[in-house]
Amino acid sequence: MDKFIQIWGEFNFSLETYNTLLMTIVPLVFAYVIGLPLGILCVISDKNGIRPNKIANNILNVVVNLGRSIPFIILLVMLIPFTRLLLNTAIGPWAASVPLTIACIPFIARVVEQSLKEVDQGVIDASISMGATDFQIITRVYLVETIPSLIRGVAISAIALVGYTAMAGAVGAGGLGHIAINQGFFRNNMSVAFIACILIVVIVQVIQISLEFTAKKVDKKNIK
Amino acid sequence: MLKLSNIHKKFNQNNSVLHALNDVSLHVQEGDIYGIIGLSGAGKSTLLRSIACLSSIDSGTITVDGIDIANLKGASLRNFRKNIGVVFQGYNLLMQKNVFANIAFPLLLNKTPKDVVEKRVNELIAIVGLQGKEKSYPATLSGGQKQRVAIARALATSPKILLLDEVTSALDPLTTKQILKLLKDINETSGVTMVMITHEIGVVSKICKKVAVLNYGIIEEDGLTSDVLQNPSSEITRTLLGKETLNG
Ligand SMILES: Nc1ncnc2c1ncn2[C@@H]1O[C@H](COP(=O)(O)OP(=O)(O)OP(=O)(O)O)[C@@H](O)[C@H]1O
Ligand SMILES: [Mg+2]
Repeated sequence: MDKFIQIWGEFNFSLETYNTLLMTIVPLVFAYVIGLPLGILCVISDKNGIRPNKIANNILNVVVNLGRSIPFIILLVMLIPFTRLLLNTAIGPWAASVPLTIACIPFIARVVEQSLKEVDQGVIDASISMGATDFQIITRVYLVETIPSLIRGVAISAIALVGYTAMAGAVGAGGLGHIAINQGFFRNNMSVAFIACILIVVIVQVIQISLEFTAKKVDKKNIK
Repeated sequence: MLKLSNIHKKFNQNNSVLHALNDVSLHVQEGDIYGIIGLSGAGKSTLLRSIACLSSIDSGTITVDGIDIANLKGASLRNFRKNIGVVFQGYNLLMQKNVFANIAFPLLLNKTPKDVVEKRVNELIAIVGLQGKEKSYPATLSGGQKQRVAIARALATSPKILLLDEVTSALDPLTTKQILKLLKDINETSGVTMVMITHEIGVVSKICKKVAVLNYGIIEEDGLTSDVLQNPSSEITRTLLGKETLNG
């Protein structure tokens, strides 16, 4: 136990846990600000959507697929100049949040799109027949009818981000991944790597369990 | 009040063209309960979607009180929609909203004041007999109750015309009887014109004053229900009546 406390202090686990959480939450929020509207646009511009638009839909799909197909580790390096331009630095958790956000946007767009597609076409027809505007269909039907699914999507995205933070950590962002890889595995300090991994697992579990609980709680469609 | 003249609608189905509505003309008078009967694939839902302005027609005109609805667009179309209530084949309720919110939905869309909404929704809940279920969610309701919610929702904006697509086909005989009685009562008290789409002759004979028989997009015959059912002039009507099989 004493050894644990000593390791905890020496490698500053509290700070790095905080950094991992920061690199998860900050990019998650920013990526949703852009990814959510993109996901909505994908759905409404689809040929069965409320505003079918083949050109816009194709462009969106190409952009999203392109974004998703670039491996994160490459994006991380590729975006260094952009991050410098934006924040004057390319190291630390805030700087890492830039590539993390960008990597997450297309991912979130798809996750949101999948959720929104769960809405039955009949419900959309019904809303149109009741005189709903496109904006009302988006905000009052699509986004409300799929809330449980959207919450589960947040969990999926957040967990994917936790994974990305470890990669970012390996190249100077800090966080638990950084401790596990640079100070644990590379220096053959297995107890340090082990504690870092356990903490990552705990973070992932907390995200999963709390959001799944919330999704179940708000879902009025699948009530027993 | 509702007049369809020479409606044509074609669908392109992998290389072939399907004439889903072929020169359909109908005249529905105010206060009528007008039945449209036909077998599966006859074009009934296509016809309903056209009247509800949910899909376009290739040619012909649809007028409601003299207004050509095919020419309506944007805000004037959205505004016009409160004149037509639709009850869909599969209820199409909002599953994350309770009964009250579902019925209030069309009113809230056009920014009706809260107190007016509350009064109107309670009125509708009483009409369809769902008192005590205001806070229930659709997932916990029976088919008949869901249909009552769908009917109340369609009536919320006090439409002139109520379009009903197979409202009883998923219900048991007793519930069917109750829903038909409810619709008949609503028609008598409020005078709302109803267009009932169905494949069940029993529904037509129970509540429809007039009927049109639709077969492969063509109106085979129409007129007063009593006349059509007693002296069917087309083979398809006899088939629907169960008097004759398609193989003779
Ligand atoms: N969007 C569409 N694209 C292509 N074909 C269609 C489309 N909608 C309907 N059809 C075709 O038009 C015909 C009429 O369909 P419709 O849904 O109106 O039939 P229906 O009388 O309502 O049948 P049911 O009793 O089974 O509901 C069918 O052959 C159907 O396959
Ligand atoms: Mg149908």
